[in-house]
This record gives sequence, structure tokens and C-alpha cells, in this order.
Amino acid sequence: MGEAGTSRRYSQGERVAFFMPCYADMLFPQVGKAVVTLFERLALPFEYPMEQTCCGQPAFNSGYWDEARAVAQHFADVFRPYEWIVVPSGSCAAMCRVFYDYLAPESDAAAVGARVCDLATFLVENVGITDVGARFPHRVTYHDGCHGRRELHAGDAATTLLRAVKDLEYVELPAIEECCGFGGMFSVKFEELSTDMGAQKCANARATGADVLVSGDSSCLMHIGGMLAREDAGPKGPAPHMRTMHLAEVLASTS
Amino acid sequence: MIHFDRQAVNADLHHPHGPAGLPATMERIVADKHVAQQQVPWQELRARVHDIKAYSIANLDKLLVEFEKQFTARGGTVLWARDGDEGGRHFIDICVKHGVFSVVKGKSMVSEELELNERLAAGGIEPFETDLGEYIVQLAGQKPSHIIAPALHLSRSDVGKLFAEKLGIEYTDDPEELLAAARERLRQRYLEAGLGMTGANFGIAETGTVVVVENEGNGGLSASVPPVHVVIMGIEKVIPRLVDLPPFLHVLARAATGQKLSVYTHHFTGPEPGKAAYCIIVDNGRTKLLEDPKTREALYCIRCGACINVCPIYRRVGGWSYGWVYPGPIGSVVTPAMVGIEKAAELPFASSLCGACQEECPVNIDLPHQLVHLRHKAVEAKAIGDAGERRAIDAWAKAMRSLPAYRRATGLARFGASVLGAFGLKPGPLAAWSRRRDIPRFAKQTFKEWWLRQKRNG
Amino acid sequence: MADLYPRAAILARIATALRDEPARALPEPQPIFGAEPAADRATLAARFRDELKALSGEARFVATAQELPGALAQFLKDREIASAACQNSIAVRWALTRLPEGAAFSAADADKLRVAGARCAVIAAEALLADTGSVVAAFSTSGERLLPYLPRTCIVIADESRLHSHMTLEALAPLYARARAGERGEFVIITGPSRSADIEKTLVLGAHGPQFLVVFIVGVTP
Repeated sequence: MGEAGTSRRYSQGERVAFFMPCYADMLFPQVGKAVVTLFERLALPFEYPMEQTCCGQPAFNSGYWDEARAVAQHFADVFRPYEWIVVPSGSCAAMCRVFYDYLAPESDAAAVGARVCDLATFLVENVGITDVGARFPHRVTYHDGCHGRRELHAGDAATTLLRAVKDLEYVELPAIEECCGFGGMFSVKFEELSTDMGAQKCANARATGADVLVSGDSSCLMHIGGMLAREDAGPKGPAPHMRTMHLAEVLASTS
Repeated sequence: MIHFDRQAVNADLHHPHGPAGLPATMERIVADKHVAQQQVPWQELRARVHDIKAYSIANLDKLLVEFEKQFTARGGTVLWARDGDEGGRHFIDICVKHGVFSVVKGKSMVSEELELNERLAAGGIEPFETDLGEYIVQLAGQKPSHIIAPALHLSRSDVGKLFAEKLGIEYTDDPEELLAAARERLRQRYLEAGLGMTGANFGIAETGTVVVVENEGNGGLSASVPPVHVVIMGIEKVIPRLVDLPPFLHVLARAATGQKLSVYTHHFTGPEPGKAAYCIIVDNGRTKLLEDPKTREALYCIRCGACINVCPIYRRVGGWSYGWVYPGPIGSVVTPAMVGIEKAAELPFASSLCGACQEECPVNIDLPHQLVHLRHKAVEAKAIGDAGERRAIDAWAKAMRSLPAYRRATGLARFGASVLGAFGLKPGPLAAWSRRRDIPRFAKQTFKEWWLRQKRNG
Repeated sequence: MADLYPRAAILARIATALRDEPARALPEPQPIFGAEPAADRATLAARFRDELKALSGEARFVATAQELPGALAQFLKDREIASAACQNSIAVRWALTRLPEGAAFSAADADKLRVAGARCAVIAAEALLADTGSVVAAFSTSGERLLPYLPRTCIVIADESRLHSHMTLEALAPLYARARAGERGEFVIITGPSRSADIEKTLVLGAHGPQFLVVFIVGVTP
């Protein structure tokens, strides 16, 4: 429980469900479209169960466990029929794989949650591909979200995929292991700490000279990207413009 | 009521004042540690000390009884204290019995918990801190800001001015000269004191041995110079056998400061003729940590400070923001549990749950999981979150439990966002978000709506 | 009698709390490192010397036991140390036989002020740990217990047979056995001279304990 991939191989015929994080559904739908594009290009059959909503993490992290359990139960009801549940987020994947069992030990929700994997791990460890046929001719650096890094031990799946993208120049982010400061509600409840940590992450990202900061978590990108945009527009003068993109968007890219 | 002092992030703590800038210092310490850790089979040792601690805590009562038996058999006296009142009373009774008026103290976080200095002073007994950092902080009338480096927040010139004022020496900011001044004063104290107090890093049940680990030598002097030695030991410090100790010694110094071993590892095995030894075994809320199976692992802590050093929040606010004796991640777990969640409900929330603490912990304690568990306890105890927040979470949960509810909520949120945007309104959380960050825009069409349209169009 | 109440209360609370705790196994003691190739004595001696040097201590080597007293006497003369407090062990007493009359006194029965007044201490090592440059010593009287801390210079003498590669179970086994048998006092693992980094993280030696730590090893040349 909690390890990145079951290291079980995906085989044709097994049902794959695509799970879209709730905030990404509303704020970054392009991430979902990118995953669809990617799966279609890889000829990987998948389904998007319409009834899906959220993994329940906001309530769980805030301490409201009854509400989190109710949402987790709905998640389990929606995704029970699928052998593989793929989500473009280390944070949501960790919630399902690690914390469903913490929340409701040995429950049905925990059993379904154990079948969730984040996108990068699914591709590299379960499907077994590293080159997804993408092309992205830019200088790229990668931010490793804390949950993917520490709860899932997701390791190098994302950077492995990035390095295989045609014409992509990968440069490692300094202090990659440091938290960006998002932390869910922490980002507003402890706003000064959150943005101080974010400012450090932005500075590290700019120091790489990359055109794009990529991450497997839109939640981190929402926070870092928001700070980069504010800095770019700021009075201190022109800062080297930096975009943020989700890993799926880079992998879907072919031009 | 303990409030997490988030304003400290604006303080000069994390801007370099000389080489003592907190984040830079912490980074250096963490880097040194990683070098030291590569010299040993680090993950194996972590697993081993975790298992020894798991056994020890699971058998805590039996081991404490055995420790007491062996300590007593070797001429010592064991006393038990549930809280600061009992601990203070025992200590004063010992002083009275032995005619003690001045006490030298080695470093002990438990003694801080018990507010021992204040209690002794009230009883007419002068306690002198001998750990250099604690001595400095005592002179300055402050509280320690880090469990391993108590005077971390002071620069050398701060110390120089302090010594010039309080010790009457000529101003110098040279650490060697400052140390010499402190050493001279403390020598006298050791020789005059009637009693020396230390903490205990470990208590060995098998032999009643008290193990004290330190670098300066003040622990050894406090224990050995005066005729009476008093050990203050938390209940969770006891481990079964002497042979269980080496793995702990190998991880403790490396995790704390990056040294292979601390300079002194004392094994006190019973008072010699002409001396007396006491061990005050202290609860002070540790049984509360024990009583909740989900916080039990916090008792595996060996007080190395590694989690504190790596925590991005600690680096930005320093050690006084946590309201009690223990700062950083371990503080955010033990304080609410020991003083009561109602009194310290904010602490577990002052974290982004990044997990770096567990990654650094030499005993692999699941600190992030304990933090989120304590958040739940805070909500259950209604110690956090006002009625407004509860209503919001309730509404959110309802929206997330069915597709029609979700779609209604999405539509409402999009509409709400556009209204707020049109009027430039930023209620509560939005204002907090947008002080230094742009607000993400609500998509014209959610992914779900796009998918639905796609399907309809074939 | 008053004391029994807190004890009973604490133990009862612990026992109740642990009712749901599953049984745990205590791991068998194992070596810190896996199987290590046996190093020859000269290599171990060199390792010990280098580790101790990195800590600002010093190791000196004497080929035979016969040469030790002379080497020690010369060392004290060079450092202008007129008197030494010493541990009452056979090895230490032998090492001091070339000192002038009255230059050394036994700390066994000495009071703390006398030991505090000594510029130098001489003690014997129960074990030397090469991996960390550590000295292991044991004391059973209150005066001798002060030897590694009070005087400014601490001299340790040891036969090369005391060298171990690191803190193995074998290295400490005799001391553990003595503790189990009820021997009182203190045994201590000393890793370099006393140090503090409490002032602005600047390392300073001789915080409270000795500033100089010198180890004489007999019977091996690195």
C-alpha cells in the first residue's frame, strides 16, 4: 500500500478509467483534454465515468473525516468496475492509494483506492513505455509534488518521460525536494508562509533558464503559476517569462 | 492557548544576519547530515531503531519496572512524577535532603516542560544552565529556540554584548574568547554546586544504565562533579538492553548534526561510594500520546532535531512560534497531544504536509500522518473551524456526492466567480490567495462539460 | 509511601493504553555494517589516527611497552605540564614510571578540587574505535570519573590490542558484561576533544571538557 505502482503490467482488455481532479475539471480542463489526446495516440482504450467528482482530499486534509468518507464512498461506487484508475495528479493518487486506508482501514473504498495510479507511474511502470511519441522543442524544468515524491515514492517516472520527449531540453530544478508551499487550505490559512515558500520555488525555477515549468500536479502549478504571473507583471521590471504546464500537456504535444 | 505565531515570517529571522541566517544554517546542517548518512547503511539502521522503539513502547510498563529495579539495585533511587508539580516537589525534596542550594543543569527538554528552573527558584535554589547555548539563553532571559542549538537565533555580536553586560567582561565577538569566559564562570559553578542534573537520551532496562549523549562535556561535569546526580527522564526513553544502543548512537548524531558520533556518550551505571544518584521518571502527558494508537509513534522520537532542521515552516518562523517546548513537526504533534488539542489546535494546521520531516527522521516516524490525524481530532473537539467553515465543508461534500449536485455547484461557482470578478470583489480566502498570486480563471467549459458535448456529437 | 501513588498511576495508565497494542518482536542484535573484510592492525591504526585528527585530537604511536614511559614523560615535558591526575590502573601507573617524583597523583581518592587543579589527566582505554576515532574508558570511583572532563589536556594510553574497526558488539561486550554484573560508576565513549557550536554555529574546542586529547597507542605502527 502506498508504493508508486503495483508493478503489475497493464494488459490489453483490462478496463482503464480516467479520473480528473475536481479543481482541474473546473480550472484546467486542458489537462484532461491532453490526457485524452495522449491515450488516443497510444491507442490505449479508456473510459471517463461521468459520475465522478472528487477524491475527498480537501475535507480529509482539513480534518473533516466524516465528509471525506462520504466522498470516498462515492468515488468507490463510481470506479469499482475498473482495474486501473489513472489520474494526472500525484496528490489525488496519494489520497486514494494511501489515505483511503488510513481513513477507513480495509474498507471497500480502500480497496478501490489501491487501484489508483498517477499518470506518469501508470505509463512507465504499468504500461511499460517511456517514449510516448511527443515533441516539445523547449527548455523544461520539472517540479516534483510532495505527495507523489514522498507518499507514493513515484521516483523518476515523470522525468523519465520528459527526457524521452523529442527536442525537449531538460534541466533539473535546484532544491527539487523542497515543498512549493501550496498544501491545500494551507495556501490561504497560512498565506504568508505559503507564498514565501512559493517565492523560493519561483526563484529556483527561473534560475534554470527554462521556458516552461512542468509538474504532475495542477494544484502546485496553480500556486506557482499564480506567483510567476504576478511576478512577471510586477513593478520590479521584466522577469524572464515562464509558463507552467502539466506533464500531460507536454506529453500530448507533437509539434 | 497556544497560537502559532505566523507573523514571525516577517521577522528578520530568515533574512541573513551574518552567517546565522536560519534557512542557510539549516540547509548547511541538512547537507552535512546527508554526507554523514551515506557512510552507514542508513535505511537499514532506520528500520532497526524503529523496530526496537516499537518493541520498547509496546512493552513500556514492563521495561520501566525493570529499569527501576536495576537502577535501585545499583544504589540509585527512582521517583515517579505525573506532572511538573510532582517533578518539582521531588527535586526540591532531594535538594533539602542533601542540603543543596545551587544546582548545575545539563540540557534537558523535560526540565523545560516541567518549568523546573522556575520551580527551583521559587524554592530558593539557584539552577545554572551549563550547556553553552542554554547558558547564553538563560543569561539573556529568553527561551531556547531550537532543541539542539538553543541560541541559534543570536549572532556572535549579540552574545558579545550580552556577556559584556551580564558578565562584566570587555566586549568581544570572538567565539573562542566568549567560550573561555563562559567556561571560567561555569567551572566555579560545577565545583560549588551540591547537585547536578541531566536528562537522559536512553534508559537501559536491563542494567538501569542512564545514557547521556553530548558534545560539550557539561553533561559529564554536571553528573560527575557534584556529590548528587539527578536524572530527569521521560517515560518513553527506556529501551531493553545495552546491545540495543549502538544502532541508536549511529543514527542520533548523524541525524542531529552530521557528526559520526557525539563527543561524549556517557553510560552512568550507578553511584560510587560517597555519591548519590536519583532518576525522576516523568509522564507529563506522554501517556496521552500513548493512549491514542495513532499518535503512539511520536514516542519513538529520540530528540535529534532532524525534522525541525528540514521543515520549511520552521525555517521561516523559528522556534518560538510553536508556543511550547518543542518546535517544528515533532512539536506540532506532541504539543496538542500533551497539553490538550483544545489548547493547541492550530499547530497541526501550520504545515503544508510536505513529508520532509518523516523522510529525515532517523526513526522513520510517520509525522505527516499524525499531523493530519490531529487535525481530525481538532475538528471533532470543535477546537478549530467556525460555523461558517463547517457549513462550507458540508455544502462541498453534498456537491461531491452526486453528479447533478456537482454540476449545479460547478455552474454556481462559475457564476459566482464571474460576479466577483466583475465587481473586483475578493472575499476572505480569495483576498488571502491573491496578495502575491494571480487567481486562476474559471474555465468557460469544464472538462466534464466538454466530454459530454463530445460524446453527444459522436 | 507518598511516592507509590504517582508510580502506580503512571504504570496503570500505560498498561491500559497498551491493551490494544499488538505484540512486537525485539530484533536480534546485529552488526552495524555487514560483513567487513578484516583489516590488518596497521590499517586500523592509521584509520584511528586520521579520524581522531579530523576531530582535532592526536594519536601517537610507540613501538613497545618499554618505550611508553619515556615517550609520555617527554610529552609532558614538551608541553610544560608539571603534574598529572591519573587513573588508578596498572597500565597507567606503568606509563608514568619515568615521571619525576610527585608529578602524578591518583585521582581515585582525590577530591574534585584537586582534580580540577590538574592540568592534565592520564587514563587508560578499554577500547579504541577506528571508524570514529573514539576512546572507550571506564571509571568506578568519583574522583576518577572526573578525569576525562576537568583537566585541560587528556592523555589516553592503550595497547594496540584494544583497537576495533568500529563500535562492534565485541568492542563493547566486556563493558556491557561488567555493567550487567553490577559494576558502578561510568563508562564513556569519547570522540574527540570537547566542542561547541552554540555561538553562531562556529566550532570551538574545549567547551567544558578538555581542549586537547592525545592517545598513545603501543605496539603498532600505522
